[in-house]
Amino acid sequence: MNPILSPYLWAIRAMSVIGLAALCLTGELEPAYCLAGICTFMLSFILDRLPKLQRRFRRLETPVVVVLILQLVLDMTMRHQTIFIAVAHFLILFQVFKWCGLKERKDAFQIFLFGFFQLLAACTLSVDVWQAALLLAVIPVGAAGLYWNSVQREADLSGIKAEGRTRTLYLRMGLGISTGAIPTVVALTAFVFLVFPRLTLNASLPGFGNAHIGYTDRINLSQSGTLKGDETIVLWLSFPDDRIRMAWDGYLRGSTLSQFDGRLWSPAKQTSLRTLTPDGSGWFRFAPTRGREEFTQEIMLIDPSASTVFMAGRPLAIHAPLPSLQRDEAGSVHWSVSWKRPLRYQITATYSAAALASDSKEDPSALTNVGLASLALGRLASLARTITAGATTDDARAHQIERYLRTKYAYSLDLPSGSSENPVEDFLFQSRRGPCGYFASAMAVLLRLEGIPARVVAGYYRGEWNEPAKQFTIREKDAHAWVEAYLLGQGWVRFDPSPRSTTSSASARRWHSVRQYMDYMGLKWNNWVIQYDLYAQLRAFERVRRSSESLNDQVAVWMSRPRKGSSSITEPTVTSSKQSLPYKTLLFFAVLLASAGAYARPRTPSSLPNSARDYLSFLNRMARRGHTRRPEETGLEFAQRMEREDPSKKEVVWEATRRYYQLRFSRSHDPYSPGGPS
Amino acid sequence: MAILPTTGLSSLLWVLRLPWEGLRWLFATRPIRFTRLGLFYTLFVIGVGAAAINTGNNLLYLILGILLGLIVVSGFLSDSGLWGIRTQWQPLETLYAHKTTPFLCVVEKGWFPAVGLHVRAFGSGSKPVELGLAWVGSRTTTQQALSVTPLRRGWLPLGEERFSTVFPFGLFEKFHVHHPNDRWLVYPAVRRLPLAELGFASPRPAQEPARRAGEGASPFLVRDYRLGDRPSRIHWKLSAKRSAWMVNEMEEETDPGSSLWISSWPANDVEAFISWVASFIYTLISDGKSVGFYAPGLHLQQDSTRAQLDRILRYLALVDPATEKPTVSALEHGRMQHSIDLLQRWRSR
Repeated sequence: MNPILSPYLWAIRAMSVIGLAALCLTGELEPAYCLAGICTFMLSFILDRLPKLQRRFRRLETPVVVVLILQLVLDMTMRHQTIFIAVAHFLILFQVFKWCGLKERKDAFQIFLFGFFQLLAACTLSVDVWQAALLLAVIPVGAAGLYWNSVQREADLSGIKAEGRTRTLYLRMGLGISTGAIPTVVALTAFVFLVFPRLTLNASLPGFGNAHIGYTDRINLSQSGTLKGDETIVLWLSFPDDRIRMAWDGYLRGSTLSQFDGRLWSPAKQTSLRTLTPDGSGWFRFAPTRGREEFTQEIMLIDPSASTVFMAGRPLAIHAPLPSLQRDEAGSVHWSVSWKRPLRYQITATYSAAALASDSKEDPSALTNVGLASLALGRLASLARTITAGATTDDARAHQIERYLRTKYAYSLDLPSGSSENPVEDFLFQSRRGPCGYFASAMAVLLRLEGIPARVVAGYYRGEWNEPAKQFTIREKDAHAWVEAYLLGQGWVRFDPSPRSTTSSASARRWHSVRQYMDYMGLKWNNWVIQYDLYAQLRAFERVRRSSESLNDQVAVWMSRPRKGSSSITEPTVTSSKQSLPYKTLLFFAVLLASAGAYARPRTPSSLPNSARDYLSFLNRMARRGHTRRPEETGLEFAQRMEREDPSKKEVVWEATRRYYQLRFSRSHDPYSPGGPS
Repeated sequence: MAILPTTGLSSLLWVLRLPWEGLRWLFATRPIRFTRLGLFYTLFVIGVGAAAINTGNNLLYLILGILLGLIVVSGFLSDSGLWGIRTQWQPLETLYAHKTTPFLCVVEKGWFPAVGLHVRAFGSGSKPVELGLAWVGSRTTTQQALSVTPLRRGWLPLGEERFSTVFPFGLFEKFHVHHPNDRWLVYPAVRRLPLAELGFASPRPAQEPARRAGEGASPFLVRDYRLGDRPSRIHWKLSAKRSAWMVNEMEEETDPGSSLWISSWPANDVEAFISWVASFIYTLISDGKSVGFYAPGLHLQQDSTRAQLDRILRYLALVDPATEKPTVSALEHGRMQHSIDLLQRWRSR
């Protein structure tokens, strides 16, 4: 068995790095496995020099495989991991073991495959833009890996070895294939991607679930620790009208949470859902749009796992590629079908008072009851009375509570408590700092204690304006909670008691523009690649058809334009060009087939050496000009005759003849005569 | 429903047949065979395609595109590695049946290098031989020696010449097949017979004529120049032709020689008889004896040169005992010359 070639080792190392990077970037992999993967890469360098250790590891292959399969089963059954994550764990651990016992081509190729399978698993776990870079990187690495595996196989099985100068030539060829494969495969991939039919069958297999966990329609106050500012982009928001964009208040509504059990805010359980279906043009109509101050917004929801339609203002109509939508009494809009890809939808909405009043069908009187019979609420009620002292209307009381919370309490990502019976009271009287969920909870509870119907709304706030994309970027860290209070005569009015946090680190500011461009690339990736579905495919084909027709018309006009010296002027007609299109297409294919056939025509194997072929070619050319060599003539005699008959070609003929004689009959130039000794 | 016009229908059928015809043409001109890795790769591609269709995950579509793209790149490169290959085969020694003989294969490549090229030839008349070439550069030639063992006397055709490669990714073995007309003459199997079997054994071996190649008066053969050869013996014409010094070798003319004749072919073991006759004559001429040969279809006067041996061996290589019957004149001529009947000698050995 030949030792594994070093370029092959580098190729499998590169594939391992790609696979590991892909898995780590999904964010679904636990840190221990990431560490194991990094160790794998380090091991590959160390164990090359420790063949004895490698041999020992090889003896353990069978028990290790059994243990790893058990671990895979445990991952799926006991730890309830999805099959992709369980397989990713298995691949990483098996890869570590394989690196330890690497000896043969078979082991090397298995490691190479593991790297690729890791990338494949990552593709099912995340669709972020960095996948584009990894997929691009996998082309040269994959080509190099397959190439060197083939070279190694030939050396092992056929004895064709890449040694000495041949090794250099093989290296050059490998480099050429790797680099040359990039444009070729990218072009072919683009072609396959564009034309391969998008038939999403959605046949489900057990264990193949969606692994994304993002926005949830719950606010849990019993959690402890520190919230992390997750930079993952949740959605992109754009307003076609710049005035609306400037006037936007920054709030994106998600779910309305009316039910509170002292620790957890959740949507009302006893709510009736209204199911809407789209009209002929794909619009879900909530209310008549005529005569209202309406505006349009377009949202690309990157992570649709919450099944919630986020929106600015109150919806009048939604255009989304969904079969149905459900709207609850509080005005939140959800969908119930399975949708795992990014969702693009368009909303016509309004901020008008009439819409606000009629938006929610929820009974406000049911939301005055705090519903915390088991808890002592004396201190909270006393505080509410203190804050609202002097206020005569609900509106004034609500504003006083909002102002009080904003000014007397501090915003913090540190969660105040984890085990308190009454987290709101702890927040108001002890910790006095916390995230937005605590502010919103506190205000809603204080309002309810004052007899004002109130509920918490979960959604997103503001985000960040992305200049290259001309859209707002909303990230996970922009998740927000605020309060809606029912005021007589105004309906549900929004209050936001959370103080604003405007701090940003210096490094974040430094990399701001870079990050904006990266986000922009991510948006384009989503628009052009991830969003490309059957409808987009049909639209693209239609566009190509129209373009070809337009081009055809232009060509017809150009062909029939009056020529110089021509007196007749013919009016070009679209009909004639359209009629001729099938014939032109057929003609095009006929020429294509004829040229392909001419290229691929099996040629008679010739046993003539180059010199004879060239001379025959010369004789053929001369024959086409009327100077045919007679059968009895030798080359010299033909040249002498030509000199007499056509002195102008004397030099050419003599040169060709001289070269032929030199090559044909000089051993040093043409050593291998045709045929054998027969 | 409107009935399609005949011309339209035939056009439609022609268009519908195009993919099938295209595939047929493709596999006829570029036959391929899956390697085990290629088979798994193809199944894997189908699996990824099915997963992409099922899930609608566009990243899987991209991976599918990459995998298919690599197949196309592989096909293009392997095809380029096989186009424009020409070979020339030359035996480096005289071919005898059942004797392993070195051959020289010269491979010439066209516009693209051939990497990991396998050449297989001699499908009939010999055990197939396979040649593995690591690299044949574009527009260059590479030569490699290999051994061929002819299985029978007569013509040895090169037969089907098959060029194959798994370059570049080892997914598919692509091959081209040529049918050249080259053939070589294979003499019958020969071995050096003991003197006792020749019938020339003497109670006094010292009186037997020794090998006489060397200085003498009659031309014996032409051979390569060796250090110490007399310059006057240089065969100038042949040296000029071969671009290498050749010298005449002479022999003495003292042996009266032997006339051999084949009265008839044996009913059984014809091939063994022919091989024995070839060995008999080979041994005699190698020992410098002059040999005349009378056989069905061939009469040769006595001669002890290598050319005589070649003439006889060529006859024995190509003779077909079923058609070449002994003639009366040959038989009489044989008797008149008091020559040795090889059939009798063969039976009585």
